[in-house]
Amino acid sequence: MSINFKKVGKTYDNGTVALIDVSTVIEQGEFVTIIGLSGAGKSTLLKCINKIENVTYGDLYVNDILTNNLAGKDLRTFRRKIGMVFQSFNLISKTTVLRNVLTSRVADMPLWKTFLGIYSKEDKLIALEALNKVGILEKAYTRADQLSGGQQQRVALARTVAQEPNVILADEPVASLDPITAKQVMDDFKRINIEDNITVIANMHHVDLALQYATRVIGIRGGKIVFDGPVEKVDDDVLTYVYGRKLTAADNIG
Amino acid sequence: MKNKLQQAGTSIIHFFDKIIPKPKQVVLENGTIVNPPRSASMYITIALVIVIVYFSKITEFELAVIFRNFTNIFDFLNQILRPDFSYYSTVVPKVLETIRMAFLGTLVGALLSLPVAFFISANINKNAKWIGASVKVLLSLIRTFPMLVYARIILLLFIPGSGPLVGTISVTIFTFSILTKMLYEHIETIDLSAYEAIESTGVTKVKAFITAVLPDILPVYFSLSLYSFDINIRHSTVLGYVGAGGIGVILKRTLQNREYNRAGMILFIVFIAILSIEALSKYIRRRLA
Repeated sequence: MSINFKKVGKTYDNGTVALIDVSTVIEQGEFVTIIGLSGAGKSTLLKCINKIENVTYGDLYVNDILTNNLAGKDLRTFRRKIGMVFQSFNLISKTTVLRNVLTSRVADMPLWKTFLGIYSKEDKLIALEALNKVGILEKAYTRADQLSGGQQQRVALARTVAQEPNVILADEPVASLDPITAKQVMDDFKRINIEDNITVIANMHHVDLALQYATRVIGIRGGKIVFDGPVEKVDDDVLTYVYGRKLTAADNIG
Repeated sequence: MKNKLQQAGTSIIHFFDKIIPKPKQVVLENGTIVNPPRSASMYITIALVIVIVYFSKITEFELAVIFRNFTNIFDFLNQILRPDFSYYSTVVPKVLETIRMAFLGTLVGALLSLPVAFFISANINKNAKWIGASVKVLLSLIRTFPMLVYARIILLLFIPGSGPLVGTISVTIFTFSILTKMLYEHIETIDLSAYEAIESTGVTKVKAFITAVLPDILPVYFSLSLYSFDINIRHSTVLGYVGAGGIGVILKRTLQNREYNRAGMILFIVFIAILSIEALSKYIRRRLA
């Protein structure tokens, strides 16, 4: 699944310009981190890919399909192949970990089964495998709100893995976690990226983590892509340009 | 103009100063003088007396009538406090009918309210806000009238004769209007992050609601439904007054015929039924919380 931005721009209804003339191609299996200041347009870039936000101008192709006008059933079918992980995990707190993971299987189920919460054996197996992959299988029957932040993010990752996507979009996936846990979660992302050849596109605040795990970095400043290249090419000059000032060791929190 | 009003204001206060004595000064041992603030209760009492006199004029309320017929109350109490227990074979089936009406009406009303509350919640249905808003206005219109009015209208216009069915429908309408309101107000306060996460996996809004929001609101939904059932039982007891079935039918008849012993029996059983259902509902609601 390739993602192709062709001169994409996004202006919000309140007049905020979030993206200006963004053009880039992301190929299947890449691990891309997007860096930049808060408000630079990182989240918007991510949310345009699965059409949580709609682009204002330009064309966005996913798998050579123009996504601009996707709606209804076509949009839902399209979204099934794109997983998303959020900064605040977005789990259903009052239910078990397994049921949270199973929610990603709901798309292909008839409505009455969804209503009664009847999941097939295969779906349960897929969900348990996904939990095993991120190392918290033993928490399958625990209520989601009884887990730590790191564990909750792993459940969210397992939920996305069980969706069997081609691409995982991660919006600040480790921003609310401590440094050690953040690394563990990033390791999970990396493993899934390599083992299952799933594209990972992650917004990151922690530059050191971003550089450590990514194969490619996209730097955004003021809604424009100001750097786009392999992680090896990111040096102090690039970071200074992306962030508008020099980053020092004191800025490393990961 | 403003000055004149102020003058009038101060002169009224002076007038009250004359008729209401100022609170007495308190002198402490060391000579400190404490001035207690003027109490407002005197003014409030005067205002209340004026209001009461005014409204009793409108309602043609006459104390004299009450005193003249005071002995009737003793007669009434004397009979009603000695219930005619042999009347239970008539009362119990009618009380059960009332409970059935209230139960079925609550059930149907509650079932209808959930999908409607989902569709009109502003945080879920962002695209059709005006539809939601107009349904909300319609709901508050429905809530304006008491259950009794619906029972009367339905009896007159649609289903004359069939009391219990009309009663059930009235309870349904009332429950639907009040429960939908309480539910959508609750849904509008909850955290929708899980709902959004599930929607992003390519799922319809309805399915996302069922998987992400329903587990969250289910305890509240049950609790509110039970509470409505509580209210409905009490309201249903008078539905029979307009001919809409239940215990109200015979309560009206016995009171009209001045069979106060029998009316006492009815009230006694209704009292027990309501108290036990209330206790049960309270117990279940506490377990749900």
